[in-house]
Amino acid sequence: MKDMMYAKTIRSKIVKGTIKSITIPPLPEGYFTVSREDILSKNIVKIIFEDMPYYSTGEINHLNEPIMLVVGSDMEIIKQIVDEIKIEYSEENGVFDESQKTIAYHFKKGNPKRAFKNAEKVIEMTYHTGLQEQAYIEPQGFIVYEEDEKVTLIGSIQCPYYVKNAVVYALGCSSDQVRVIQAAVGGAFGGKEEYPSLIACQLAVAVKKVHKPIKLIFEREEDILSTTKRHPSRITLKAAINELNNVTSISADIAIDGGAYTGLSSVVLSRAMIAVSGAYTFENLEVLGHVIKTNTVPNGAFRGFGAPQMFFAIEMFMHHIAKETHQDSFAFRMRHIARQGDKTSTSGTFRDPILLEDLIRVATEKSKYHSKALAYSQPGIYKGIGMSIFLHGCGFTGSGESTHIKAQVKLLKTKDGLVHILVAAVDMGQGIKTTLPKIVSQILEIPIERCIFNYPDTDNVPDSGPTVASRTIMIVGGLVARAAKELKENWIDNLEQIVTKRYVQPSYIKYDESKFKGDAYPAYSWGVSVVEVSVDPITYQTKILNVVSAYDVGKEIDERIIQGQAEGGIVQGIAYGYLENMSANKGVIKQKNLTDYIIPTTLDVSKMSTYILDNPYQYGPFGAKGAGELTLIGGAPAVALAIQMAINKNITKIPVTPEYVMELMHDDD
Amino acid sequence: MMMIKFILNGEHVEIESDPSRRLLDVLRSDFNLIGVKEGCGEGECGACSILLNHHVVNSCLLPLGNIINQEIMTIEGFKTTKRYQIIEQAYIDAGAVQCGFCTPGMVMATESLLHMNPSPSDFEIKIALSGSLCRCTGYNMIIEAVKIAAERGEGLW
Amino acid sequence: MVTHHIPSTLEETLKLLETNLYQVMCGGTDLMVQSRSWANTVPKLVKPLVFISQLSELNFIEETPDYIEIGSVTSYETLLNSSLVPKVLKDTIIEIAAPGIRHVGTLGGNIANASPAADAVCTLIALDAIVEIMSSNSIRTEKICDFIIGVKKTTLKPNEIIRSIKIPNVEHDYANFYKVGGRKADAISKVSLCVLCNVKDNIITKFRIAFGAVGPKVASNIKTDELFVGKTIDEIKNNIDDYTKKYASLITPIDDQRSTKEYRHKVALNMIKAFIETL
Ligand SMILES: Cc1cc2nc3c(=O)[nH]c(=O)nc-3n(C[C@H](O)[C@H](O)[C@H](O)COP(=O)(O)OP(=O)(O)OC[C@H]3O[C@@H](n4cnc5c(N)ncnc54)[C@H](O)[C@@H]3O)c2cc1C
Ligand code: FES
Ligand code: FES
Repeated sequence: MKDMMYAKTIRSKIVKGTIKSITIPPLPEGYFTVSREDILSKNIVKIIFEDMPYYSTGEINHLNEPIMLVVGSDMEIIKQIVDEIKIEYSEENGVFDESQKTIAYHFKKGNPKRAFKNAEKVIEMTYHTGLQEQAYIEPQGFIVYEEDEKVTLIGSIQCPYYVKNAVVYALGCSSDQVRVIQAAVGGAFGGKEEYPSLIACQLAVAVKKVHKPIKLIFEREEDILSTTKRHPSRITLKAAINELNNVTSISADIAIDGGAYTGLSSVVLSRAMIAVSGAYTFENLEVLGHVIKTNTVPNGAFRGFGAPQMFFAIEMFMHHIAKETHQDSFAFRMRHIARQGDKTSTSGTFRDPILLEDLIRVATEKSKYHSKALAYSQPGIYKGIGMSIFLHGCGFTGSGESTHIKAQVKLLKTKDGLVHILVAAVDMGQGIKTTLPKIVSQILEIPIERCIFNYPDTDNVPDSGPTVASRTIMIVGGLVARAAKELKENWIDNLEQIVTKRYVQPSYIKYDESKFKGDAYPAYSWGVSVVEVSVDPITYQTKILNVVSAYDVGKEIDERIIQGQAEGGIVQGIAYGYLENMSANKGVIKQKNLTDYIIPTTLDVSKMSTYILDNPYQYGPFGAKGAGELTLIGGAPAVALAIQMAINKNITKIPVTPEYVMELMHDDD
Repeated sequence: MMMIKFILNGEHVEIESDPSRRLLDVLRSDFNLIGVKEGCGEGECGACSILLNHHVVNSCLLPLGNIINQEIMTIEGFKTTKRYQIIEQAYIDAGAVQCGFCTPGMVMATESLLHMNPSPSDFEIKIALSGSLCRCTGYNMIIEAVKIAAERGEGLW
Repeated sequence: MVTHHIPSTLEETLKLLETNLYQVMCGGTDLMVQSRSWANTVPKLVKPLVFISQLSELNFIEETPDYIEIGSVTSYETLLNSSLVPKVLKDTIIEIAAPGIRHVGTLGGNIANASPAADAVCTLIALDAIVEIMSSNSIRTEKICDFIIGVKKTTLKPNEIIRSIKIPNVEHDYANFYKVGGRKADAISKVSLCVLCNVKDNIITKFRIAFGAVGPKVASNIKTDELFVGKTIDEIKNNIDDYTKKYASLITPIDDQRSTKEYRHKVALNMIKAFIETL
């Protein structure tokens, strides 16, 4: 692009406090700083909870908070200016414990009070989960330019319309003044869901000031140190046990660390709370949840969205209860698994058939779970096998789809018979550029090459919602399928035709968000993962030996894509459980690059086998449900249970690092 | 500034530049070869992998001054070969490409391996690709792709 | 203004260095990371560079009756493919980084960079390797354990260059390198250990250990090693905890972003013990 300018972000060097003064050197011609003084309308990143400014207000709430951009044409000169800008702060002490609560939710199912009163035994445990970094291989970045008055942003993003709406809000302009085009996305996993809106707002303000195209690409370290991650959590679970050694009620107290700004945290918290039962049914529940505010980098969306934390806790807890009550853990868990017709944690109904028993049978047989579990329970073998059972609600929680998103899709058939699939869904590796055309081509019975899916551009595609929450195939794909059916019925050769479809919630789905009551999701995907490990008693390192998973994702539309999602997801999930370690000390993240934030390499993965059982969902295209997040969820509990078996100690936090294994193994020294 | 000559994708090229610059930047901005990606800039991710005299190297750590008269091959140059076509098809068939950001680097590492070892074992493949991070696939489908490529391309390496 | 140089001979290189104005750039795998600036801008260097990886005079592997001598710019990959290089050094190199780095990284860089976690340094110290250092008017040699004096500190002067590394040509009954990193490839050591041992008639005749990442420099102590020499294997095995603990004071690690001092300490001792058990 001609006349390209570059931007570099100036960030806070303190964790908490206020900016006393900013000294900017005299700028050469054509060089600019852009900060909150340049904002035309609102200094808020429009997400769910509106508390995050995109240029610091002067009050600093976390390290590396963005203060201003330096913009110009020569990067060397920008670098010099950045070095010469002096900022003085008055520093305050940050808060890092649970003392600041921003959001509090509570819900009940049945009569937990009575259940606890009548309990034979009450068991309690507290679990902790750590930060996880998305570590997409392509860092965040945007190019922004202005044509007439209109601002166009091209970026590595998951949700073109989130970005567009945020920028419209920040500029206070009309909707047709902002255009967002998705560039090829180098992975995202949630990391490019809400965060890019912040950069987009900064750049939109900048382009309105300098009137030249601007490019801003994050450095890896900058990306790790300043973008959102998976919320750390503290989850305290209490179970009421009756005389039959069954759980009659669970009471849960959940705190997730939202970091300095709340953003999406409330939604992450609800997912976590709704997942409280795991893949089991408990008659009575009492669930309390908080988002806590600390002076660390804000946390946000990450594949699984609150569920991985909760599933780790509940799976470990179920195992723990079995042990405390001297029963076989497998049989105990089987007695509690959810069945069709059961009430969900939010007192909705599991309406569709549940294949858990089949999934468990396949996964345990293929992994030889039972015989290995028996063999490994002997001391001195240092091997373990762990099984996790899990589900994931597909689509937005509750009435999100019908009240907030109101997805729309469009099919445009050209005169020469090409069908353009116009949706805002983004392919970031999860394969929808294959799956969506496949759906359309099969329904219209035309070759797949005639079904066109391009990177979305908000000027051309309707708002089919963000590419998140395992909703794309089930919701967007479902709409696309309906549109394709309609197009087929009305197909006229040599004529341009347009079909638009809007999301309508299945009428039986009723959900009261404030009370957490009703059907939180239209459908659920299910899974079972078995992970086998060995632990080296000399170095305390865990080696993954084998992974077997079985899933019910409704119906697989493309086998290889599901396999790819399954393997990629479980590797992330297992690594979350034992390998990926990110910690912050008083707001300072210690692992700031890919050298120190360890993600798996080829040599860290084992053989993986994936089995898919069909269980078509009435409203999904060809019966498909969501698969994108599900596969990650079982990884951490399965690997933690396996390590627990190998070392015969109680694991209560992830990641289960070698350092933690050492502590556990020598806790009686 | 210094005149630096090297062989890029089979052609003799020269460039007047600072020899401390990263080859990655030179390839992307001076030669517009944007198949080389930057994922970390510190040698960890392998997205910037290129071939230096047929060996995979991280171009984000390679100063221009280190490649005088050496042969550099990027994915763009490699694309014109039969071996590339075999590797590409194998990657597609095995489902080894998700977001695709790691793919050029993976392909370069694959070529570097097969060049030295046309029929590698699983373990050798894992070692050869161990400097390339992929966050999407979980790797096994990529390892499968390399095996398929080695089989189908027998005799080419 | 002083600018970068790419000399074509060693002589020219040494002459430039005589001005004390330059820093040497070899494979670049440490220096480029350390001088990382902003993408597409020039690296942040303290001094202008003299490039040396192209110097063929420093790219060699030779055997003499007493030593295997390795030119300082010889790449790891070349070493892996040479039959002259001791197996334990190859076992070490294969655990360094990943192929892309091994194709350009060098022993000279690993030594001059003097990181306490440098893997090759650990093994070279156990091997009692000697560093040959050159300036335009002198050549000196120094034992590698004396050459490295602290975190990123060596006795190298600004006008000097490492010419070669000489590894005593001795056989070992046991020569093992163990590395504990955060993952199985491309990981910086949390703790590493090289142990060499000779046994004759059930009696230890040589014992030499070096530890990486447990202190400001790779740690070793010949006096401690000598406590094992002359002992029978049974004597050591019967008192394995006592013998292992003799190294405890040598291991003085810190907490950092990669691990904890407790872990490093414990694992280092565990590894010695595990080694003794294999005797
Ligand atoms: C991703 C990654 C992973 C890594 N993993 C490991 C690992 O597992 N284990 C490990 O030990 N290291 C590791 N390293 C570090 C590095 O690769 C090695 O230390 C390597 O040996 C450095 O050699 P080089 O030639 O690239 O050094 P350079 O970067 O060129 O130089 C390093 C320093 O040595 C000086 N120098 C170089 N050669 C000479 C000479 N002949 N005479 C005098 N001074 C000289 C330079 O001036 C500079 O100060 C890793 C690096 C990266 C980027
Ligand atoms: S960009 Fe070079 S290795 Fe990551
Ligand atoms: S395919 Fe996305 S990083 Fe490999």
